[in-house]
Amino acid sequence: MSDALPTLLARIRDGIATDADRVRARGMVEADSSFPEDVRAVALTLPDEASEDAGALLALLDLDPLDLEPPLFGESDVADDVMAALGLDPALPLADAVAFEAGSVDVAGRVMSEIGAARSIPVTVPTPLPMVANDARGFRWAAVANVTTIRWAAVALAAAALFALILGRGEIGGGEEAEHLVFAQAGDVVVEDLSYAEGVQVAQLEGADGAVILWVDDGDV
Amino acid sequence: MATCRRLLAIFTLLLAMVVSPLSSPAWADPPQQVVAKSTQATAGKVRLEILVVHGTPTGTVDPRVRDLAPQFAGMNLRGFKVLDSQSLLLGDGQSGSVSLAGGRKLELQLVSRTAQAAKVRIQLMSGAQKKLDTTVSIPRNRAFPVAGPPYEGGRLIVPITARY
Repeated sequence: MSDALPTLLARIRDGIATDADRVRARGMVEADSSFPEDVRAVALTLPDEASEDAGALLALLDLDPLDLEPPLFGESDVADDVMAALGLDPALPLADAVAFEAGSVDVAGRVMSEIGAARSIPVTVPTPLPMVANDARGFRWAAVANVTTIRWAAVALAAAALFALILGRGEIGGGEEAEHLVFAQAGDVVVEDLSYAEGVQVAQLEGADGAVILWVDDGDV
Repeated sequence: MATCRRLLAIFTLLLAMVVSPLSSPAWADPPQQVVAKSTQATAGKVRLEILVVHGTPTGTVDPRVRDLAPQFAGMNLRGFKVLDSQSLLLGDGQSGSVSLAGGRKLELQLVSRTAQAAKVRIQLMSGAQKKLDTTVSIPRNRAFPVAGPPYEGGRLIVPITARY
């Protein structure tokens, strides 16, 4: 069975198919051996009943035994049992015939009628909105903004970026930057004059790494 | 529309600030003129950079003076905190002063300079009393520490760097 048949049947059921579609579907059903003989003989022959026929055929397709899950506790064909109890030939496709006569239950149509909506409303994927407005991650405001607003928003963003850059530049070389001290060595420093007050102790020391240090202890705490 | 004009003005101002030297007082001048003025202002002068550091027997080392710590490892000073950082731009014969902690003051005078060293007169004052008066040749771009005045359980350390 091709995929075209269910599509055609759905269109016929929904009343949006042409008569040519019905004829085409009728031919496909008639040639499809998976349907019962009596169904193939009469289905979709009358345009007035085409919608109900299509629903029933779709129901038959959905009840295809090949698509059903295997039963948990073995098979029980109630229809065959009833036929056997009545002394009739159980080979008759009673279940299929009952399902065909019962037609389909158009749940969607009932719901639509309950809420007052037209049955012909197509359930299709909405047409995509323009790219910017369709971007759910952000910039939805752009969908309602005009071009001038967007341009000035871009300018404002650029200004903010430049401002941040300026602030960054201001911090470079700030007071917390590490000073690199290179100390004069003992042989490089010449102390020419030296005088100090009474009680002050002065000494020329050499640091652990060779730096010359003028040590002054003025006694004041 | 008025908002748009204001935004444009702000944007233009920010752009100009980025393109121009940020801290130059003559930021509207062409770059060549700015360099020339800067050269004239510092020609023949020595920039004395003075750090006021509090050395203590314990504590952490301020990253800015991490080079100082090894020099004083044998003097029971292991914590170093920068209290102040100043600089003086001096020509020959010019002088300036730097306040230290504990009511002290350091008066510095550039006596002369050569290509190798700057001769600097250093006076340590405590109030009105002169505690020390010395003249030292500090090698160019080298630091010369004056240390020892007691201060809050530690010692003051004043590295003086002559840059030019």
